[in-house]
Amino acid sequence: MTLQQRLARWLVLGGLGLAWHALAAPRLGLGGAGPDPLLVILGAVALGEGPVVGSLAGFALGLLADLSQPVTLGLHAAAGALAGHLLGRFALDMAPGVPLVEWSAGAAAAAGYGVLVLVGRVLLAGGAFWRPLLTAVLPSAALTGLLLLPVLRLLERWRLGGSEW
Amino acid sequence: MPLPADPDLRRRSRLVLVLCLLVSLILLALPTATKIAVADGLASVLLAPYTGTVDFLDAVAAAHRRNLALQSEVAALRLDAAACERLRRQRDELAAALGLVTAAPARLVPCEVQERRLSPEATLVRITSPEPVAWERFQPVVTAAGLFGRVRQATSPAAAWVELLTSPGSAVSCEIVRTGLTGILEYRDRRFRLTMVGRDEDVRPGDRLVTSRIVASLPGLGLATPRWPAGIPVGTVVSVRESEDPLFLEITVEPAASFTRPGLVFVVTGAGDWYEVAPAAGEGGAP
Repeated sequence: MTLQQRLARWLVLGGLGLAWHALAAPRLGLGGAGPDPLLVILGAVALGEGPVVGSLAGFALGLLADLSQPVTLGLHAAAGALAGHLLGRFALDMAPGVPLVEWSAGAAAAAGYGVLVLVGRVLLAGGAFWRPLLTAVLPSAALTGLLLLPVLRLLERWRLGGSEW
Repeated sequence: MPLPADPDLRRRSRLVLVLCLLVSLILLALPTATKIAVADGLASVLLAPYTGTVDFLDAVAAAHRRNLALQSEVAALRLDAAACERLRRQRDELAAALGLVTAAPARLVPCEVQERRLSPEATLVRITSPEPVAWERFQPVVTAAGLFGRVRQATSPAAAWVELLTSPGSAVSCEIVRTGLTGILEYRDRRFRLTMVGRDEDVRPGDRLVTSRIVASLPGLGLATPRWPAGIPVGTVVSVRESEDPLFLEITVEPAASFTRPGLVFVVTGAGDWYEVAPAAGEGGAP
């Protein structure tokens, strides 16, 4: 599969994820916290393509998230790049395919991303830390990891998960 | 299955991560106003496809709504036109029963312009028709846009010389559609003017002029208007001014027809008024 084809498929997945993020994600929440579609896309990309693409995808998706909060511009981008890199490294070092392991990796990356963003926001703009961490960030990370599993299975079934990089 | 752990790949991935973090930190370190400006710039670039698509879909939806509104408007207008047609037919029948209509309805005969001749007395064009025409002196000749000239002289059953409205001495009895006010259209000093309209009359720029049935003569100027079917479009009032003449307005008119590129022209045969004719579809009659 050529680089252009791989880029095209991830762009399609990204477009679908963004549309889902804009249209349906607010209705999927449980008790105020829901899975983050952008992190699901990031997890799929990073686990499929490795740390280089994972970092870049995390940076790009984080930058998109930053556009809605210009005061903390760069915060989501940094957290996304880090989460994408770690998930890509996980794909290099460990054996994906075991649901519990994949869920743990996705949830840990989402939690790390959420904690970084929360810390940055508290430092830059002030506000509470523990309450949003317990009620929003951690439940959302668990749900994001859970949602990552069917997406990965779907990508495997459609042979979308590349391993060339 | 784990991805191959290539040392180069690990170095490259660390480098990319460091670069991404560096850019992020630079963005974070910017002053708030600059951050907002950068975010605005990025949003306008990154979200341009999205906003373009949304705008396009909005425009399509608006066009669809407008199309529906226009369709209902067209349906209403068609009903109105059918009602008007019935009323017009009843009026014609009544007028015929009362003996008010004596002229045969006007009809258009298509002709092509073959030749142009300029002389101090008149600007003439020679027209030919694919079929024999019952030529008459001073028959009106029109284009699709409006009055073009009048037949000066027939040269064969299918050809004739036509004098344009721009010829010196041509005069047309006209009527303002909005008010029914009549005047005489003349061509002087390279301009069309509507003359013989009193200073107190209501004439406005944009008023449309059509031919009138009323025959007017100006013995002092040696002018006389021919008797033509009423309702042929002539032109539009461009400006209205009070002239030095204490009695009349100075009205400038933009002609409806083009005299330099007439294209196909039509000879009007018969004397029925333009707006009284209700031709069958496809017969080429007057509208």
